[in-house]
Amino acid sequence: MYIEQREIIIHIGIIGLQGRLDANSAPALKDIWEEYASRGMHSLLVDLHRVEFIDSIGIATLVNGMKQLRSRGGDLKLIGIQPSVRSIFELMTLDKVFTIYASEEEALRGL
Amino acid sequence: MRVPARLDCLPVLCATVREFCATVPGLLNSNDSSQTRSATINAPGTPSYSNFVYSIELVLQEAASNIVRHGYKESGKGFLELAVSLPEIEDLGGAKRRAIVMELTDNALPFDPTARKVDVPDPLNMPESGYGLYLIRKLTDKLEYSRRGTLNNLKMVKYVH
Repeated sequence: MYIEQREIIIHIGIIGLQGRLDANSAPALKDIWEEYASRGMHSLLVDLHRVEFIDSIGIATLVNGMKQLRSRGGDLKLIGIQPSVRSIFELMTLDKVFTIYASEEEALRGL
Repeated sequence: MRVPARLDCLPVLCATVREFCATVPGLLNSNDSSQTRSATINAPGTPSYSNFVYSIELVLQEAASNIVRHGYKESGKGFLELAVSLPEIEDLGGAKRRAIVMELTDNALPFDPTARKVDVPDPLNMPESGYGLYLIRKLTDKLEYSRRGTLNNLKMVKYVH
């Protein structure tokens, strides 16, 4: 999995992921949640439009990141989730838990 | 196909089943799954495939991941063997239907995923594991487990139409 990180507004970061978010690659994201928390980041936008596959461990890692940030008054929001991945989110009713944007522009307007 | 029982080897298994689906006319790009909404993936640099194929790949990933993490305790030892086929089998109503059948064999600790109680996901109290079984049950039409000697065999069936 390829991970690209940017800080777009003070205390709001954006992470672009590419490839598979699965049991093998998801642990790398946990370290990122810790790093953002230690830097005092309030919110993260996670761009998933180049992620073609997510398994239950990948999903649980996103949920954990969201819970960590919400406990600090922030949030973890998703961008560009692929339709097939979305169908799995719907199966697990996660589409009602995450804020999901179609694009980075839409996400920035929603901040 | 046989791979070492490691998490970094699971994409190879998934690619195998995806390639198998590509040989079934109309399956790779069709959106005929009754359990998921119609849509295709078509991101830059990624293959275009249907919800059906995504579901198949996810079921395999979850089953294999459980074996590696829980059966083999991520020891790096052992193997996973996958066989994929497209037989005609009888459904519960007695009708013959084509189905993707994936059989995973391993020599890890005995584990029967069909015997486990599976909870409906609670998104806000999601543990790191446990929802793989929910997805496997939800996305397959039949699931059979057997233990022969030191080998576990998990047969996962999903009807094509």
